[in-house]
This record gives sequence, structure tokens and C-alpha cells, in this order.
Amino acid sequence: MASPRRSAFSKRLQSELLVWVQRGWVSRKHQQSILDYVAQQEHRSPRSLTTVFALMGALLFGAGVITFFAANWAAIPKLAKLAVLLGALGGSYAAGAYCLARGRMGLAQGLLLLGTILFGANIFLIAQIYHIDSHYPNGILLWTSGAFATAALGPSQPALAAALGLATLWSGTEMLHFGRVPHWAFFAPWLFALVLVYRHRWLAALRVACWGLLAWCFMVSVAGEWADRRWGAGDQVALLQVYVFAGIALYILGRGMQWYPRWSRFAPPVVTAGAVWAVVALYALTFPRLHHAVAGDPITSSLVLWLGITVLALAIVAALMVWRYWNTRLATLPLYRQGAFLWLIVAGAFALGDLFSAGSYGTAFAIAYNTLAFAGVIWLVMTGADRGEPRVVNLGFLFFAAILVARYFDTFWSLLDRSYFFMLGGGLLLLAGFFIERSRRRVTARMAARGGS
Amino acid sequence: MKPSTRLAFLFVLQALALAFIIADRQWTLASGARVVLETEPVDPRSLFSGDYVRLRYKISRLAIPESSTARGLGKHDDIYVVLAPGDPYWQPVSMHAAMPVAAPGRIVLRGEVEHAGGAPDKLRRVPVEEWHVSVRYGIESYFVPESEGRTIERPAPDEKVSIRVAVDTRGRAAIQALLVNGREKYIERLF
Repeated sequence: MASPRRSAFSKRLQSELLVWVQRGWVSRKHQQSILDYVAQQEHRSPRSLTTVFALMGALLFGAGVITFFAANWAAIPKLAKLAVLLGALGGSYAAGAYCLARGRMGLAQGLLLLGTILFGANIFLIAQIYHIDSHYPNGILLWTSGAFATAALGPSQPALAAALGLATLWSGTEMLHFGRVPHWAFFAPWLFALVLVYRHRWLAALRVACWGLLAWCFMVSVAGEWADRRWGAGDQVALLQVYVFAGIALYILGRGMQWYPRWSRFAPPVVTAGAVWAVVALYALTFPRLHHAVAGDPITSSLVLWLGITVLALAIVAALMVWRYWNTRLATLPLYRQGAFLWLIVAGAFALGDLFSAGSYGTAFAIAYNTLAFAGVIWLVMTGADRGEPRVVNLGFLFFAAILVARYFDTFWSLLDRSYFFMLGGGLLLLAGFFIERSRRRVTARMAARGGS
Repeated sequence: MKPSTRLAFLFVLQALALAFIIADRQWTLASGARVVLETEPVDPRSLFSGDYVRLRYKISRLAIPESSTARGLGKHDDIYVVLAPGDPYWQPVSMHAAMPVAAPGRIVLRGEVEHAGGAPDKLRRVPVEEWHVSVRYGIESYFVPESEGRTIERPAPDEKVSIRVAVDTRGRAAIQALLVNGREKYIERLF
């Protein structure tokens, strides 16, 4: 009998296992068990292929039905249109309930997501049928509410992810199209989503929640530039500075969450979101034009208010650092992690100083923020490499390249200025690399010696 | 609770939300005062985008006198326009920042300021000091059956398109009928 076709993974595993058995890492008995398990999993794959084909078929059939109705939409009486819309909605939930009852969870989740999408389509199609042309974010809000209901009652993680995306869209349209900045109402659905995330231990939805929060925060900063309620460049710089510390606070919180079994599952997305938040805000602050614009366009709201918010953000970061390192002797930390304390003190001093400068030292602050940003992303690469977290390393490299490209094409400074900056930065990096490598060798040698003893 | 019961409850909840949208619109259409508004083309080259009509009215741009409470309104603020019957089109009488009490025979239409400014309208030769607002009333779009839009897009020289709307007690408007030379071309019904 011909042996069943094996995947590339299975073939690779078989050759690797031979080496592992030879080296005594895996016993012969376990080698066979592992190969049997993989073969069994691969044997099951046609079932998942069937599910994929079923989903694709359903989508294709659905697209055909939608196109058919779109072509004949005008000719269909209103009552029939409503029957089709409600029938499709009810049908997807009925099919979802059927699949849930029979334990076909993947298909059930797909159908619940389809129901969520259909609910939104129904809102806008009913608006079309009855010529309703009102404040359109209200339609998105209603859709968001429906998606939350599906997420809670399903329960459905894809529906919650969709609800979070819709909530961000709703709040974004209110801010960017209707000048309602900041749109605090966003936090009602967002916090409700966190409750569901915690209750059901949903990680993917937490990631969407983090990205939604970041998108909302940056929409606030962008909206201030051109929405009706205009902020000065001074307000934008102040807000971005607060975002840097808010991101750092979230990052430290995420790291601290790793200690608690109940929260550790949620830590990676929080860490990534915090790092992205801080680095994006730092990246925005590296542009010299922004700092120079403050002189002619200072804070239009209140200096005292921004001072209070900045001090509060710094206090939160400080409190989290104390919590994080309470039982740690700082001298035992790697050099780069000790450097984080110095970075925070310098960044805090610059943030407070920038508020009072009123744009007088634009160039100095631009250079300072470029230095802080480069130091920050290099620190991210180091910590990511140290902890074995590729996503953090990649994030650091991504923003390192982004800042480099931005400075290269930034025409604010002359080519000669930029060449000094790059040469100085490059030289410092080479030196840092040398010392870090030396330090790494010492540490690994010490660890090896301890392991040996 | 069983999954089927939960999802049945979900369906009823969402269906009720959709029914509310329809009921709210029908309440305005059924209880609102009937007002005929004069339209004007937004752009003669693209009045229609497919079968989706973008409507603009004579009252979409209003000159605000200095004494009016609507003078200080900015983008996205609510504006209340008092309309008086005309022959055949209703005409704006006054503009307000808050809902006024309309005299008998008049109605109040609520809109949202899209743009406010003091720039002169060169074509109409209004004084520079006059303050204008562009207003959106939520009756600016109308879906027409496929291919029928073209006949309205290029009306004959002797044809005039107007819209009859129903305005409820809260000042909200809903399109009741699209009229060509005063005759109903499309009329809105529940089903």
C-alpha cells in the first residue's frame, strides 16, 4: 500500500528526530510517538480543508446572492427587501446556533461574524430604502452596539474584535469629520470590551483593543490640527510628550503583568502596544519643524493644564517603575536597563522644559528628541534581543529605519548638519556595540561558570 | 441559557433596533407638516452619482443678518430655520441658534451648519459684511431606481424638480415625495 503523502514539516521533523535520538535528547519510543502524532494531525487536515472550502463556498454563494439582489434591488418591493434583510440576519444566527449546539465552533464563529456584518449592512440598506441621511456616525454606533451584543451573547471573539474596530471607526468619524475632539464616549464600549476580554480570556480581541486605543489617541492629536476646535502646535507637542510617557507606563504595566498568573496571558499585547505608543509619539517629536512651529503657534489651551497632565504622566511612570523594581537591586540589572532610568529622567526634564520654552529653543529640543528617539529604539532592540522577543526587536528596527529615513529626507537641517548627526550617532553606536558585546561575553561566561559549578 | 435561546434573543434585539429606525422615520413622515422645497443643482455635471441623488436646496445656503442668534454659530452646530409658506416653495423667514416657537402656519426646520463665514458671494453680489452659513438638513440624498435617475438628471428646460418633505415637531425632516413640475414622481410609503 502506498504510504500517505507527508508534509515538508513531517519530513523535516523525521530527519531532525534522527539527530535528536542520536544525541540522546529523545528516546526511540518517543521518536515514534512524535511521528505518529504528526501523522495523525496531518491525516485530520482534510477535515479542516473541508471547513475552509465550506467557508469559501458560503462566501462565494453569499457574494452571488448579494450581487443578484443588488442587480434587482430597485424592482423588489420594500416589504420583500426587509424580509430578505431580516431573513439573512436570522438565518446566519440560526445556522450559528445549530453549529454551536453540534460543537462546530469554528464555523459557528464564522456565522456569528457574518451575522454581525449583516446587521451593519441592514442598518445602511434600511437607511437607503427609507432615504435616511442623518448623522452617519450614529449608524456606526448602532452597528457597534449590535456587534457587542453578538460578542456577549455568542459569545464570540471575532464579533468583539469587529465591535472594537467599529467603535474606533465611530469615534474617529465623530472626531475627524464632526470636530468632537476628544471624543470621550469611545471609552464606554472600549472598557466594556475589556470586561469581555478578561472574562473570556480573549487575546486577539485584546490586541484589537490596544490598537484601537492607539488609533484613537493619534486621531486626537491629528484632529487638533485641522478640526474646527483648533489646537496650537504647542498643544500638539505637549500631547505627544504625554503620549510618550503614557506608552512607557503601559509598557511597564505589561512587563509587571507577566508576574501574575491571572494576567500574564494578557501581558505581550500590552507590552507591544505600550512600546508602539511611546515610539510613535517619539517619532513625531523628532521633526524639527514641529518644535519650531511652537514659537509662532504656542499652547492655545492652558499651560497649567498641560503641566499638570505631564507631571501626572511622569508620576505614574515613576510609581510603576518603583512597583516594577521594588525587590530588585539595580546594580544587578544589565547596563542597558540601568540606562533606562537615566533615559526617563532626561526625557522627563526635556518634556517639562519644552512646555516652558514656548518654542524658543526649537532646534535644541529637536536634537534632544532625535537623540532620545534613537536611544529609545536601540534600547528596544536590546531588550527584545535580551528577552528573546522578536516582535520587540523588529519594532525597534522598524522605527530605527523610520527615524533614519525621516532625518535623511528632512530638509530642515542642511546636508552637512545631517552628516554630522549620522556620523556622531554611528560612532556612538559602534562604541556601544563594542561595550555591550564585551559585557555580554562577561555575563555569559559568568553564567556558564555558575552552570558548571 | 442555551446557545439557540441566546442567539434568538440576539436576533430579536437587533431586529427591534432595525424596526426602530423605520418606525422613527415613519413617525416623522406621518406626523410632520408638509413643506415643499425648491432644489438647485449641486454641480450640473454630476448631480447624480449612479442612482444616488445628491440634493441641494435654496435654503442650503443662508445669509444670516447681524441681529440673528445664529450669527455666532460654527461648523457642526445645530441651526433652526423658520419657514413660511410660499407659492409654491416655502421660504426662510428667520434663523436661530435654539429651537424657537414658530408662529401659526410656519414650521421650524432643524439643520447642521456645514460651513460658516463672511466671504461674499460674488455671483449673488451680496455685501461683504453679510454672514453666510451652509446648512445640511438630512434630506440631501435620495435613492432612485436604476436608470431612472438619468431622466431627472437632465430635466427638460420646462421641468422643475422640487422636494416635498415632512417636518416633525422636533424640526427633523424626511423626504416625502420628489416632484417634477409639482407632480409626484416618487412618493415614500412604509412598504
